Amino acid sequence: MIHRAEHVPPADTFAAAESPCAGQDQPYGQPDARGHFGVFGGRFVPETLMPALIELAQAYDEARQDPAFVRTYEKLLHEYVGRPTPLTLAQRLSDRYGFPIYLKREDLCHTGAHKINNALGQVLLARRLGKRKVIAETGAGQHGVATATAAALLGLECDVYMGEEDMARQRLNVFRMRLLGARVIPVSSGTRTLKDATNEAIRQWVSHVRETHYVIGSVVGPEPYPRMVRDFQSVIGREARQQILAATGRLPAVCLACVGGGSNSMGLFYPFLNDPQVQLIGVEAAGHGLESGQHAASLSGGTPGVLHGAYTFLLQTPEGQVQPAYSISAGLDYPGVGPEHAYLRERGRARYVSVTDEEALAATQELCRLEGILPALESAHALAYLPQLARRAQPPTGSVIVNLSGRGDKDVDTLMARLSS
Amino acid sequence: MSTRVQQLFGRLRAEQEKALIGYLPVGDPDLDGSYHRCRAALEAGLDALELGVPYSDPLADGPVIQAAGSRALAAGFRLDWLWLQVERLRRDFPGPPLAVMTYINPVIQYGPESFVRHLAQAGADALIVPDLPGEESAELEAICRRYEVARIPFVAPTTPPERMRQILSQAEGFVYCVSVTGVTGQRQAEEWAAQAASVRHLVHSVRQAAAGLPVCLGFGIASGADVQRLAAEADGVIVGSALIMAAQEGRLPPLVAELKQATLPESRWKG
Repeated sequence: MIHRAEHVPPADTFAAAESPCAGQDQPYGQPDARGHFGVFGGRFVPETLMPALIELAQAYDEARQDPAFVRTYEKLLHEYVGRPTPLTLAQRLSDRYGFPIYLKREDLCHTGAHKINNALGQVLLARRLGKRKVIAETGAGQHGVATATAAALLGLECDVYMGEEDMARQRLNVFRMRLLGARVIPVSSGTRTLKDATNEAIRQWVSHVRETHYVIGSVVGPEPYPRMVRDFQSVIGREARQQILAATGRLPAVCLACVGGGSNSMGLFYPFLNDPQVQLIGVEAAGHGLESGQHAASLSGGTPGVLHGAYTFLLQTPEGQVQPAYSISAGLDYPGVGPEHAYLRERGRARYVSVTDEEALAATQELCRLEGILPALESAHALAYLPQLARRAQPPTGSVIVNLSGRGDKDVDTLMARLSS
Repeated sequence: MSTRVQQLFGRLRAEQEKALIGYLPVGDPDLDGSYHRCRAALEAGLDALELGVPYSDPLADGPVIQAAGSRALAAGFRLDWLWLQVERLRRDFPGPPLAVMTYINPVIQYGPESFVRHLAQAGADALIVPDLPGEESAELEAICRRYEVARIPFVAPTTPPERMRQILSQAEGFVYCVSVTGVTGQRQAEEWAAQAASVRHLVHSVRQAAAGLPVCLGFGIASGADVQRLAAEADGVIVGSALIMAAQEGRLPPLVAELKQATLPESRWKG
């Protein structure tokens, strides 16, 4: 349970082969058969759910080996999502910071964020499992919109659980989900944000586990979710790796992505894990500042424990009560983080830093004015680390890829309230 | 392994009764208030008590236990309160088994060994952790064995037969049989009517796999009628949300009395 030292792999596990096929690349043998990334991960859920998780893991392992499933998924990514998404050289931004900055344009995905990569994969899997209905939790609403979209496309019923506070700050996405035929169910318990929306989705899943698939939106939750969501999102990193090689002839010096639960960052990082010369940097939301206690930086400011079925880093009291997170960005406003990030941090393969609300707002405006792109507030956290990267004693000697995980249209209300005052 | 648990079920079997196990969270409405509720419930006829550790993210619980946990946390619940409550109840009620129900995260943060040692020293007989399946429980089970605290296993309606055998092969104390897929809290009469047959079937298969271990049924049981309808095959029932609601409405002792009567053979009913 707590001592899983026997699962910590030797130091050379990052050196292994990579296959280009979706869901079949395994750069390093994590997680183990019970879903442990070193000491992190696992399955901490009520017994009622255990058989469903075991069944899901088996079904996923079969599906990812099934060429017909992989073909259907890749065809949807190409013809429906619009992949591959471009890798855009941000020239004026590069001029400002003094190194070449490339943006991985997940903001150009259908529905406006990377979340659709995972939602389509899981809803396809739900259909393969014979489930008639999917449920999802959502924070910013992007995962909810993506799941509602995939459910509409594939003809499944969809319920989305969303905290009341998030419904207020992301009302555009609430309306979009309803337009797409989903039911949006307000969650009024606890913090009324993503943490409690996830609790409620899990409770609903416990109650309707036989006929329902739970589409988790990030690399969090019990095995097999962290690895399954990672695999579906790793298309981001596979494309980016090929694109940067084509554009510059070299691997990037740095990959930069925001981390809430951590799905867009895991998707970008995963195909680069075996490239030790590529620095992987995850940017967490420091909210009003780490010292203020009002932030969502689980890795930078949290401790290990169990949240939503996995052993990982989270914000909690010394007695293990989960603490509310805070961020201006609803998509990062989560007190936990995917267990694989906890593992990559422990192993030193990825570094995790944080930026404040103010820094993210400044980065949002900067990208608008320099590049004509309105980033999601989540993605703006990755951009907001560029100034610190440029100030480092050793600035990057090659290119920097920033995952522009989503577009900012959904945040216009928040931006208006913050910037026009 | 707890002798109190064995003695209780031994005695009840001889008398053709079923065990009435009540769940109440520590610290709701406050430390003293929750002690007095426990006391009242034991005096009104509970055979065993399950003390709940309030938690910020109670995944397996419905709205009533969620709200009770929030009240206790708002009242300032700390784990000190748990040890105090167990100690005090053990002193005042030497006979009935006392179990503690907690989600795993507080145990991990406190340190599993310290947690179980405190429980054992305070006089608890059993530990119930709803979000710790067998796959993750080896360490805690070893600690519990060392301190002679029974680690109560769960089986659910979704548990397949082979898995059930695995879970029960190591089990101690009694089996916590989850009556329905879902969270804790009262069910509508129609839902029970639709499920009663499958619940009885579930208890029957658990009993066959449990090799003599008592089987207790929990989740959604709220009234004497529920007990009679569902518990025919079980050795006991666990009632939580309904007790909390009754306590808030000042009718905890009469509900306990009603539930207890339903666990007796009909020949011993009063009135």
